[in-house]
Amino acid sequence: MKRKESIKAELLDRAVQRMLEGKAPFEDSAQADAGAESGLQPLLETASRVRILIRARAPLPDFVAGVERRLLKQKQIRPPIPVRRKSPVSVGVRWGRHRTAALISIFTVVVIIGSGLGAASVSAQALPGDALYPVKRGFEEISLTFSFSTTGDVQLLADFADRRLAEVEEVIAQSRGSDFLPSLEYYEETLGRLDTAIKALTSDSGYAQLKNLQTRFARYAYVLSALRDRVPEQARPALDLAIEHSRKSKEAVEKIRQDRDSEFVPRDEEKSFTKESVSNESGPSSTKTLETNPETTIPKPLHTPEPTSTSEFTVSPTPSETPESTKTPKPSKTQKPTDAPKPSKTPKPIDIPKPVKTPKPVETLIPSSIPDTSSAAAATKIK
Amino acid sequence: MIESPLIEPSDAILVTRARNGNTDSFGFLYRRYADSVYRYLFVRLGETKEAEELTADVFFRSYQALETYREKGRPFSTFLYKVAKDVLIDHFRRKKPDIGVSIPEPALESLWPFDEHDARDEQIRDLRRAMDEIPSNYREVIILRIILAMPASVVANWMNMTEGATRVVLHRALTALRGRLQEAM
Repeated sequence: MKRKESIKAELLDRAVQRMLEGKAPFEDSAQADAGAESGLQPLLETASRVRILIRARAPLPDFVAGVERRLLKQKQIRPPIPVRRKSPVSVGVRWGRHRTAALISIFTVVVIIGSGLGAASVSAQALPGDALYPVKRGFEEISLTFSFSTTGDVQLLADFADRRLAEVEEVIAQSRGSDFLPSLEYYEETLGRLDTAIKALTSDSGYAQLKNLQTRFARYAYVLSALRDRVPEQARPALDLAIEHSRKSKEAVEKIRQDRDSEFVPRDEEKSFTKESVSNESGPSSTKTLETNPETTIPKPLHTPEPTSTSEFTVSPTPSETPESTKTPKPSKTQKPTDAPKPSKTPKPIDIPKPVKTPKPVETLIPSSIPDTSSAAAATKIK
Repeated sequence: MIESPLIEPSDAILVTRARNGNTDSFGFLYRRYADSVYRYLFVRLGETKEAEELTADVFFRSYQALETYREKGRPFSTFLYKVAKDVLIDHFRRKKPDIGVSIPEPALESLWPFDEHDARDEQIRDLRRAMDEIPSNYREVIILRIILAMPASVVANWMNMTEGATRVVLHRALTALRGRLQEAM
């Protein structure tokens, strides 16, 4: 009896929901028959009568606009987003969060392998809306589940963002009209997760990824801008928002890098470098340092920091800091051994002209943020 | 911007952007929900000024608390109405500390048309009488689900029930209301 009532109640609620959305109460004739059989029609009429005759007062337009203006000024008073350090507990939480997706994906994998198909290759080309697309996303979630560092998360999410962008491009290339909007939403969702992961970066090795990410975000904005002319006009605002999101992500990374760079300044002052050499970042003094004292630039193996901490130096903001890397880094700035990624996982610095004949350690010790010209000059001089 | 359901970003996307400091996105969410949150508060308070103040408070608090919001399959509106409920409880606590955390019943007068001509309408009077006669939890579910068009999950949260139980109460409430209306005819 109770079960019968709850079935009726569910049917009624579904019909009410459709009515509230301005649709017909029943999706098809079968549902309408079921509704009539359950005696729902009179109840829906009553609900409709209530809806027509009774209404709640709407807010005044001036009030709505006034609050919106105040809300838009909120940027200044919003508290900073807390930086979360990964702990074993958070790994457990992560597993909990992705457990359902992971279990579904594992099940799917078993089924696909069982039927003799290579699951990964089958779903790799799937696009949003395709039957295999959830499988593809499921594989991604699994790989994310097995990443146990924020640095790893960021790397994976950045790769996923690349894929989402490629999907947007592919759907647009197939001229599916406004059908690309779901793929655009997936792109933005992934970008949002990546933004959050970046904010959680705390280790120096993680900071080493920032320049790469900045370049990626700039490319995303560029690619999306190039797609603008190929989508229907009414869908362009959505694309514009995604472009803006990409730019904001780039700006956010830029800011983190700047903040990180500024953290280095007092540390330099503590060392033997003069204030002039710090303030005159890319000026002659820094070049001179490299030129006149190459010994400090190219560390002897004994003074070479462990590979785990090399990434710290790839984000050094000034050329004058390059010699600094030969000295033992301050414990506070040095990545803890437990957080340190394995040497093989050390992110490669990008856009750095590598001196051909320089011993290996030097390649990773050259700050990645040196303007290209000066690093090239420095590299030449070292050579 | 062209306002079309096709191109309007979802709540989840807007929340993500707002979390990244994009206040415009939160403005979008505000425009989407300001009306329903205001109505929701107005039926509880029955007074324009208070409803306006608390509506603003709900959105300011939600913005500040956005970082704590986790989707977990629940819509953003559930989070928003939860904040609205907290704001209401705080409001009544401040006003009458002795009432604890309970919130008074909806102010039914605020729900009826303000036009004098409409108020004399026979149908409206019958409906009002019928609404007065049904149990308070039935009245509540009709106001929340039918008049304020809140999602079932929000109604369930408000009434401290499961969604299934809320649906059953709605079914019973509409049956009871229909019975009363038929008696009046």
